[in-house]
Amino acid sequence: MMDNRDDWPDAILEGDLDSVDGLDAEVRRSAELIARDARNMNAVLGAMADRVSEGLPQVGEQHAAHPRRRASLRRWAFAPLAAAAVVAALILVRGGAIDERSEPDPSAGVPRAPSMMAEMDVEAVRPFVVFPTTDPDIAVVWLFNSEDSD
Amino acid sequence: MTRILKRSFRCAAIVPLVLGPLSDAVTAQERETTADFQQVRFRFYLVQADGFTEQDPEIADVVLELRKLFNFRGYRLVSTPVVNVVLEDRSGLRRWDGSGIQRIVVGDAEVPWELSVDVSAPPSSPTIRVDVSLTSIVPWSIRENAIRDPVEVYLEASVTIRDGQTVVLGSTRTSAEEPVLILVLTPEFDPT
Repeated sequence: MMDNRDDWPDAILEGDLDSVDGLDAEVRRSAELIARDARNMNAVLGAMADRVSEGLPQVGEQHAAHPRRRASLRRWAFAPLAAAAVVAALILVRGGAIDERSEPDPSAGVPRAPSMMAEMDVEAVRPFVVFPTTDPDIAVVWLFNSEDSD
Repeated sequence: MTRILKRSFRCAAIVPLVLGPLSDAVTAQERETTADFQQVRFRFYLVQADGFTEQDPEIADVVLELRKLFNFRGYRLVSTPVVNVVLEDRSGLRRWDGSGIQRIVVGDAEVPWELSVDVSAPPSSPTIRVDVSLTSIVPWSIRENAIRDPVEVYLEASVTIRDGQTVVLGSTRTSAEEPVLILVLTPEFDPT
């Protein structure tokens, strides 16, 4: 009985359902559910990785990873590290520090509304990540389900 | 004629001097009366993620932002509960509190879910502290005792939010076979 995700081939976790064509309907259904869960988690981790990469310093050309492998490395190999990094960044960067800008503000002296992200002060029992959006009045709080952390 | 004009000018100068403080007193009294409580209307949108291609205009702005963040295959609006809360000073500690509950039916679920909101804030504050929880409930008829306890907590979080802002709370689902559920909430202060 393949109860643990580690028991499933990587091809299935990556959504390649053709590899289970020869199996019965119940197993195929389980494979579809696991593939969907993996896809959902990758969607969340991908968003988190993008947020982390936006804040990383520029890497010199001589140290840059090969461009063909960069996208796949970001999503598959660095996703767990990116997830841990973004969680640590969100914990450390508090009080509107994310919105600090180095260049002079042309509207200096004009009262500005506090950042939504700085004010939210989210609390939850489950682990969570907070995402800002392009709309300053919309923010996403993603709570991780227990089965996602297995 | 000159005396009449002078008297008229004096009256014209005295009237605003007398009425000015009175009008200020009335305004201050009105302000104090309306600051005794505050109404907040919470609009919720329960959204299913993944596997839907329809476009729902009610959640278009939220879906637009979610598509920029995640790769879920579509979103569908499941329920739109509204919870009205009155914030008032109940404890005499110069702090407003209020709460509200709404039952919602999600999909083909036999038992409704319970959406509860607990709100607290300093009087007339531009921000409010909101505790949101989405839980399942068990009907009284199959409960052995009279105490109603939520069976499962689907979503629970606390956030500080301003009038008109939107918080997207994700995720949960009733079972492994069901798509991910996302709860969107927007408060409206002093709704008309």
